Amino acid sequence: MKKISILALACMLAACAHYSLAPEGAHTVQGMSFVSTTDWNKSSLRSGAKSEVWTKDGERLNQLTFIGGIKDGQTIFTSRSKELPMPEFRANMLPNELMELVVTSLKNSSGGELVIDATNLRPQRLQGSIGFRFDMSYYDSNGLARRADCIMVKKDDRLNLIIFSAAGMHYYPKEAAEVDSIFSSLQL
Amino acid sequence: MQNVTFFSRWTGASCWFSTAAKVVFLCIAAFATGCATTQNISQVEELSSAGEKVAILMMPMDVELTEVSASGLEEPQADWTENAAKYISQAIDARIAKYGYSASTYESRIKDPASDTVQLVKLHEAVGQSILEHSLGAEEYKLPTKKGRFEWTLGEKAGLLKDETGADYALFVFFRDSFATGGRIAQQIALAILTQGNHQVQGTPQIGFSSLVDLESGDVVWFNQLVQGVGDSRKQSVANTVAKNLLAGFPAK
Amino acid sequence: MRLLLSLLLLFASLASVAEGAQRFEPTLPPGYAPDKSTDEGGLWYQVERFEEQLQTSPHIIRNTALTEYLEELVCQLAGDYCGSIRVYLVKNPHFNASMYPNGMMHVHTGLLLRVANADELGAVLGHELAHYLRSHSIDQWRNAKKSLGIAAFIDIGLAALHEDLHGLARDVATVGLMRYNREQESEADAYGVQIIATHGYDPAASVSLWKYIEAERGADKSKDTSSIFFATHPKVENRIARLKQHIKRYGKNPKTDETDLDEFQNLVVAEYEGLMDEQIALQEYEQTAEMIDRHAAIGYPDSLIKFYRAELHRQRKKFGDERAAIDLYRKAATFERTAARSHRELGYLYIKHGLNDAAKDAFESYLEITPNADDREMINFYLETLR
Repeated sequence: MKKISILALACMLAACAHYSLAPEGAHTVQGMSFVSTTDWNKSSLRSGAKSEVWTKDGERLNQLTFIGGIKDGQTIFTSRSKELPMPEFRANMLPNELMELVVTSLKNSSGGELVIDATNLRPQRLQGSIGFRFDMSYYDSNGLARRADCIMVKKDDRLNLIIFSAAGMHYYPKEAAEVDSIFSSLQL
Repeated sequence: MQNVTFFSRWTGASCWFSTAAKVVFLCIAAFATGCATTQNISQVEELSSAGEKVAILMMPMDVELTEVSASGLEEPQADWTENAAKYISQAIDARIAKYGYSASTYESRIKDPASDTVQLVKLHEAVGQSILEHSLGAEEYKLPTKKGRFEWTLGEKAGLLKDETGADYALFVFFRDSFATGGRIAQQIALAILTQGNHQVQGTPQIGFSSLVDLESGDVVWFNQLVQGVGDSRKQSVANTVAKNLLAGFPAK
Repeated sequence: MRLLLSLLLLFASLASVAEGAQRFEPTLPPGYAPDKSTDEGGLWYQVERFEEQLQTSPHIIRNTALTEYLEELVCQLAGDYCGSIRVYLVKNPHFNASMYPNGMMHVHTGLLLRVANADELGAVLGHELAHYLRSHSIDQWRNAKKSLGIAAFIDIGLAALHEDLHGLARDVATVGLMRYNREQESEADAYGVQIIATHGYDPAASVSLWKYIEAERGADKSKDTSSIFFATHPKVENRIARLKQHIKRYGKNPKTDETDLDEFQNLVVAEYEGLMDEQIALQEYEQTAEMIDRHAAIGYPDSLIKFYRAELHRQRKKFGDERAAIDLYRKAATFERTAARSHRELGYLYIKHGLNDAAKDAFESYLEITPNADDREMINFYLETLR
């Protein structure tokens, strides 16, 4: 009897991601079309209803998060805490506000504990539209330095974004060129 | 489709769940049989050095012993931990010497969190957990792009340790007797299960992993996961067994 | 174990009458360390490991004028025990400080924005020191062990640094184990007053600080949980009343020139943007407004007051906020310290209001002041498209 309950519990707890191959080539994820030049692993985990996560070496080391079609009044991530509500996207937001939106959303998704340094806000010309891009650096709760690259595109009053985040040492620079090429190929 | 919070994926804290579940299974197995379970992967048959003798750098061991009282309260035990760390470290040194390698202990006074040496240790933690999950974990947690290959690295910055110490490889050891602070979620779940299931913890489970990093390439060339219920690691004889199990499958002649 | 200055503590009615007249003495000698084989030794060991981790933690601020000041002040108040206390400034925008059994003290950056002067800072540090000097941690640890019938975990790690960040839920989860009990808090209040009064600081500072904290919490209109909690546990006034009694025994120490900023205030002003940006990021607009009002009353520079009032309005995004933000940024833009950021924010706000010429001027001013700004590509993009 004891063993059965332990087994049952352990099975419930096996709540890890499983993965499928996202081969190099053209993809459309959450309404965003782009071309990858290497294979990725698509994770079954997600950060919200309109999201998808890819990784190379596991989410601890690097992850590419796609979030698409956020409407006016919606949040990027699901709100979980009344004390730290997720900021809402507004269709009239300018790039500086979009950057703040992403940074605050990330911060609040960690219980407010991340101190995120966001820099290099800049425009990125894409086919048929203009995106905005910026860099982030922060330490996770274990003290591992992480870096992130984020591209945001507004289309028909909806926000679409991709965030690449990785351990600052080795794992970020390793994928930087691939991520840049994915971002540059982005079409909505 | 699983829905998780972004942050736990973001920092990678969440998948201890799977490891926890697995560890619980292994622990139960270990208790049932009274022996140790190790699982190791080696990329090399033997170690090589440009120098006369292969030099292995022992990174500061992450060892902790705690007592679990009947109420479930964990009590850190300073004297036990110090003794166990000393015994295990000595036993590992002795085994490495027996393999014909030389061992030295790494001591860094650098406290700057942004420094490469601090970050190498942090990165190793993340890589070690990723290995537990994606290489030694269940089939569905494997990453398709790896195609079954064991490809894990700390990257080129690992060379800094070589420059600093002259060592060829670095050995990282993580060991917990009972479920202590590392992997908090794992402990909480595991302990909750164990205490609810058994009312009282019978003996204390021991978990650990050790990995060997080639300081030339930064690659993890050998990795070993350990779950055992062999007894009291405060005792020198048990510490010897712990060291033996932590080094199971270690590449040596 | 931790969380000393928590408003969640209930200060109902348990004041022991005798305590008011008591003169406190430490219960441990300077340089105290327990035997390693004891339960206290085990607790220390765990805390020492935590402290080791903390020393390489990115969440700690090191080697600044502010940290030096804190160290000196703590040392002064600790007297013979100076060598036993190590103070760490923790990046955390909430109001807190905490004391660990081995003499490790944490001061949150959020505390620095809430204490008005060196006296109020001293009041908090004195209170923390009192916990140490009266060995409250180990007593609490032993009580917890005795009384806990359920599985409980001591979980000291870097995550513990953030444990009280969003207080309530986690506090409830760790009830009894991680917190001093109310008698200990009460004793620390009284002993704390004794410590600061005997070192020449104004003992009444503890009362002025608590009054402000109460006002800040009272300003919280937006968040159900804490305001409900505040409504059901509003016993700060009891704490204040009892602190006043302790203060009476010491009288007033002479104060330095009230109009000039003291050394502590100047140090806060020097670090103000870094501290305040983290506070604003909490999105606690009403509380932050209360805080800025206090800073204005203290006499912190007008540039900073105007700029952060503008930031509050801009980020709150309620009706009329953008107008108010524009007015304030325009004033802040006239000060050297806040000019660059003000011009940039004005530029964006003008665009939103269709004032393209004004936006262009503002962005040009921004780039004139900071030609190498990291977002210059973004600004240049607007300068081109606004033509």
